Amino acid sequence: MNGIKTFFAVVSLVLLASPAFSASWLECNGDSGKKLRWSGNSTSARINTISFSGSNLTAAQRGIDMTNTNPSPFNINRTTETGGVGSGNGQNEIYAQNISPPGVAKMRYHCYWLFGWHYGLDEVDIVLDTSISWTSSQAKTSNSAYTGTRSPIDAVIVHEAGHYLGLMHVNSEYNVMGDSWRHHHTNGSTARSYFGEDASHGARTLYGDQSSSFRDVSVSHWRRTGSSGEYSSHGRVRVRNSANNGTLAGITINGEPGFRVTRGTTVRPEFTIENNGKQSHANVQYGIYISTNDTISTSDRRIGGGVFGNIHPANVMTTTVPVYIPTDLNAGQDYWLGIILDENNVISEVSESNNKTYTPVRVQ
Amino acid sequence: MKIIPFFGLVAAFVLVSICEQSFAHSANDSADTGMLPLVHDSSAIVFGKVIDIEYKNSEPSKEEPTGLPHTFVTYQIEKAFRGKLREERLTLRFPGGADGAGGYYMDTNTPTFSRGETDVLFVLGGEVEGCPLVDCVEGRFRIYEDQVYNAWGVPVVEVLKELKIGGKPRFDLNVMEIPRPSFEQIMQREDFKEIIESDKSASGMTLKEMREVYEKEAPEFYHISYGVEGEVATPDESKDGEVTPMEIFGKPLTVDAFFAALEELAKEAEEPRLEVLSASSAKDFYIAPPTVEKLEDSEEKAAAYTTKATLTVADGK
Repeated sequence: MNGIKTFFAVVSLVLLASPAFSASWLECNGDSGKKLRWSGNSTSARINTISFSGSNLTAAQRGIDMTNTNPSPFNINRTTETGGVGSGNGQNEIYAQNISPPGVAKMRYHCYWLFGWHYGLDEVDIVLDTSISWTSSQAKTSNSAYTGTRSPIDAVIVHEAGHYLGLMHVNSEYNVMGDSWRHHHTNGSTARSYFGEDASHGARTLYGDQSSSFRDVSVSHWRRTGSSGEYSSHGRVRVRNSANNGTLAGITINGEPGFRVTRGTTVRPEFTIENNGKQSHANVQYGIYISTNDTISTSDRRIGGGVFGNIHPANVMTTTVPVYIPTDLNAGQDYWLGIILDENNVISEVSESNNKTYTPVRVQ
Repeated sequence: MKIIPFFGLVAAFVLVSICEQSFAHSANDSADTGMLPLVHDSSAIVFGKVIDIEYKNSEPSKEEPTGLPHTFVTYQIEKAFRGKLREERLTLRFPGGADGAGGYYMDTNTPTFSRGETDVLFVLGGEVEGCPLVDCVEGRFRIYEDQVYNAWGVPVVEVLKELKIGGKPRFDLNVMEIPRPSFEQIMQREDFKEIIESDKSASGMTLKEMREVYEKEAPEFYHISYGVEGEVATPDESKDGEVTPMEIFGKPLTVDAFFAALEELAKEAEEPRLEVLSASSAKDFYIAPPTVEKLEDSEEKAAAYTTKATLTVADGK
């Protein structure tokens, strides 16, 4: 019997350690030492102002800035242009055209032998499809992943800009090179697209670490649910029962997926924890809060918390945390079960605005 | 995290098993109508083997001064599930490919090819300027070791009730094969002089000597492949471990099961209206450069409409 227990203990340990493909790229002549990337640490990308103007231009610029928020030294310098575009003209261009997929990256690179191997990216154009119903807004009420009907421009720009760096699709992690439509940091009425841990790890693999400190942990209420071809598919996190062997009954709250929780019981909300930086963080404190609205803050009531022993910057972690639902909450009322990561603000981060998110619950 | 050494072998076995399973998940938002839409949109569904690949640039334009590299892939057709072909060989032209001087162009939604690959293709009919497959890369299915994968090497596990494609990708199936450029072609590169001058062994050579070294040392074919990284030396730690995805895949379909499904689906579809035309690399071709269009912000449009409506009412007053 002890042998069986030990075996399952080992299985559990291995399960925790199971690796996931977390980045892919192109290689010249099948050699991992010849990754196709830019030769320097910056290039310029020209956003075409015929395609993008006003708030759309702002959204496209924001998508590039989100991509640049990663711990590699590589930076896309964004400028604007007007007039014609083309592949092979030596210019990296971002424009819109009636194409079939929502977005595409047109990549030019070289790989040949001439007294040694020569390889690298030469030009990347990003094209967005004009037939999609787009939004430049970060409001949840606009976003089709929430209560809106439109697709955020910045989300697809971040995905295509991942290709711009040299990254290819990933279907085995929660990541922006998979389903970028459902890859957000969300608190309150705003859902922000972002580059994320997995793509950041890929950028570091291609370009190394930037010399300045780059620390950022974050939490999302999205998770990987499976794969759709070469893309990871994402869905909202769940609330599990105390034994973590079942998901609580679902209910739609304010147009978002929520769960029914019972007063006086322990439940386990899921959250996706990411380390978007370049170094591990140990003993990261988190707090679980209950709020009467979807904006989680330290002003809300703290009902639980704990410590994540280690958050590594190359393995996105979706996990559950136990929390007791207080008996004095109002039955029949909707609440928002929230988390605040790095609750004691120990980590000096490049962004402090991505440490809070929520899952709606109805108390019974 | 330390694993007891005694159980190392067991752990390795279990790890492999778990990895296989952990990649075997279906999409939560994949198409739920199976392959029928692909069938309807195709003029032919064929199974064949890549027997020849040629690369050729489109005619240059002001916007694309070197033209756009294209790939001409010739298949030996072994079976047609739908549509009729004039010949047993079919050549298709895809955007993307080698420019002949060591450079490449690739759309991230267009397949790449190597000789010897065996595929099922959902081919469009009529004159096609862009990608000749239905939904481009989504219209190619790879047959490898009696199993079926999509163009990216992701297992295809269900095609009738729903189209389920997911699980651990075979990145090794994603290889683009390109013949080595001739020495004359490589000499046309803008960086040729710079490379020769910077290389000590080459700088004192005559062109003839350089050519001899080039033809001896440079591989006859170059390969562009996918690199991946996945090992995590230090896993994340929470008391509760990581959550595994909800949807679990089975193994890829066997070729027999896939072919049987294709035959069934082909019966359900109407006869194709367009004929599949074979492309020819012998002819020069022109691809119009991209037309820049304005991206509409639906909310701005809606707001403008509201403003206009308000103004109209005001004007009417």
